[in-house]
Amino acid sequence: MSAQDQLLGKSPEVLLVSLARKGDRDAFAELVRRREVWVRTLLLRCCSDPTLADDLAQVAFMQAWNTIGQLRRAARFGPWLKRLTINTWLQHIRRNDPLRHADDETDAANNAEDATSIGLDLDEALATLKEPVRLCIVLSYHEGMAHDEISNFTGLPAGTVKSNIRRGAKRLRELLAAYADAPREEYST
Amino acid sequence: MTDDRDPGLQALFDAAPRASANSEFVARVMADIDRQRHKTILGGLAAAVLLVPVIWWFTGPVVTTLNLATQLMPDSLIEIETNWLAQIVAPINSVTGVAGLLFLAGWIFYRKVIR
Repeated sequence: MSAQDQLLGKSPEVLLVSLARKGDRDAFAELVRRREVWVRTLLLRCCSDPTLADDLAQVAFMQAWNTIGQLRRAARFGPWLKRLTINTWLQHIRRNDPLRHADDETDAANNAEDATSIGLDLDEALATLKEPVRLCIVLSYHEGMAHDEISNFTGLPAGTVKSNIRRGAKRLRELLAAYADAPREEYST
Repeated sequence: MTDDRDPGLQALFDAAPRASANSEFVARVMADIDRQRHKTILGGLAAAVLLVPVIWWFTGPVVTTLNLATQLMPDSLIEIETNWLAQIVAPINSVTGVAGLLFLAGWIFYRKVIR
């Protein structure tokens, strides 16, 4: 690792964003390094497919590089990147059939009983939800966003967000019922 | 609006593993950015190379047309013999005046109708 990389590694994000806005490639690489796990995990929860999540994360970061000059306040990089990531996901589902997983509910329910990894179980259960419902659930439970914030991000009416979350949570509780009986410390390891 | 979350479900989300850090992913993103930058540079160069003969071909006719237009600009469209009247209508009684009025009309049309 070069001295410049070490320096960038210690730099605050606001400085990196300011440098990246001026076209500094290395500063942007450091931003990607810092944010890639978060973006890839968010997309993994959205699509339940690690390869697709990585591809979409790559698209999101490319868009971030192409439009970072338009970001006015460097301190808002996190929310701005989150919006870009969600938009990338929304564009993806608009291009594809949003109901392609809607009929897989029984299979996923059966698989959930045998699965050992909580991450896989959760992703499989999420995959059975319709896209808008899944997105609302992920933004609420994974990202900890409030309903009105989700409404603002996705453009869905606040009432729809609320009912999507209620419906999605009910469905997930049914699919992941096995975990309800297990003590929490058991699956948190 | 209440943002209450199911605690059991929240615990599952919290316990679910995150994607692991992947240096290959970072390298892939940066390689894509470099590829895109090279494409842009090559595209610009190709456009410049194509533009050179186009400019070379068109420079002569364009300069001739502009010269002709410049010479025509102050010419009166209608000959008015009364001196004071000719001076009053001079701003609109010329190729420049008509071109200006047409431009203004086009601009208003664009602002009111198209935009």
